[in-house]
Amino acid sequence: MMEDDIQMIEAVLQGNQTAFQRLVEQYQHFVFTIALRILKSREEAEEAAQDVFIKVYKTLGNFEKKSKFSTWLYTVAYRTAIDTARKKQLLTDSIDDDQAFLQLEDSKNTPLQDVQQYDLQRQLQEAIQKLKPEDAALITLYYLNEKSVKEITEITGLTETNVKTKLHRTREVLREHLTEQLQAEVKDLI
Amino acid sequence: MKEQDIHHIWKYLDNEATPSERGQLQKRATDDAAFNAELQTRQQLNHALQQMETEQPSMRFMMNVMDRLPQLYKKIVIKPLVKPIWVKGFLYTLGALALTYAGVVAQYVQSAEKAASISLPGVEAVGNALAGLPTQVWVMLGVLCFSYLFFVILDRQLKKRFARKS
Repeated sequence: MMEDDIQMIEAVLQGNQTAFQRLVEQYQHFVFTIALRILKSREEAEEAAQDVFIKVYKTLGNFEKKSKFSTWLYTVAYRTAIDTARKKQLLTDSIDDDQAFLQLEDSKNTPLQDVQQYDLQRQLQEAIQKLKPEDAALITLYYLNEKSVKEITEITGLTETNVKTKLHRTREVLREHLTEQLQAEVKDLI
Repeated sequence: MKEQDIHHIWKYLDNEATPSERGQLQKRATDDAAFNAELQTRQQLNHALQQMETEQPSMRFMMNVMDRLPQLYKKIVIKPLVKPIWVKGFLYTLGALALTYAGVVAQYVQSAEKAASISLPGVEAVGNALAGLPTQVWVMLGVLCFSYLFFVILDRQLKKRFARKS
């Protein structure tokens, strides 16, 4: 994959636009997903993702090939989306700050098993949508793009400890949120 | 549930735990039902996160990106160091001077035997070639060229003035 990327980059640098089209085709979903997780709006995410590819095209000559192309691309994507979010002063309804989500007492049941009946994936997406932009991006990079903690530090500029702490905290926030969702839905059923 | 236990669970799920830590955690999960439930919960969340799919941009996404690329290659507007009018003027002047020179040479050739002693460069060759034409023709051509040049410049100046006023 990395060799393919390098070959395509070299072709792009020689003026081959079809090679760039292949790079866009290959990475558009990942870049768009990162932008969407941060910006929370499909239109804005699409615009930001387009800007990312244009920036990459313009600065492809600066790519030093020390790291993976995907890491470099996601760095541009992360920073572009975060900058856009900051510029627009996106008011994110962060579940992290919401005290309404209560911690469940320890129980013998496995709440997430039950939650699965209520479409876990959908609820997870909703929960991620409510995360802070940086936290949502972190979860996306770690799980969706299967980036290591080290690569995430490169992309986000955070320290390794910081990434690990945030990742741990965000996952717990998601767990709490899903548990809370389950409780609410069970209440409704009763 | 202690914070440290949660930390150990995530370490285990992220495959960062050492073999001995893994063994301890698995033993505890077997012995402690509450701990096992916590582990299961997080295991399922971890699995669900791993199963997440990428979002799809619109069908036109790639075309939109590719459409924007040619704009990066906009022609750079370069202003010429010398305006075309001056280049034209220079060429007309050069032509006029050449004609005048030819006229003068022809006059010398026609007038006297002194022609042989003239030391102007290329006089002989040019003179012989143009000897057939009367001097007045050359002088007239030179005057016409200078007049043309004068009118071109005058026309330009008037155009400028007219444009400014309107």
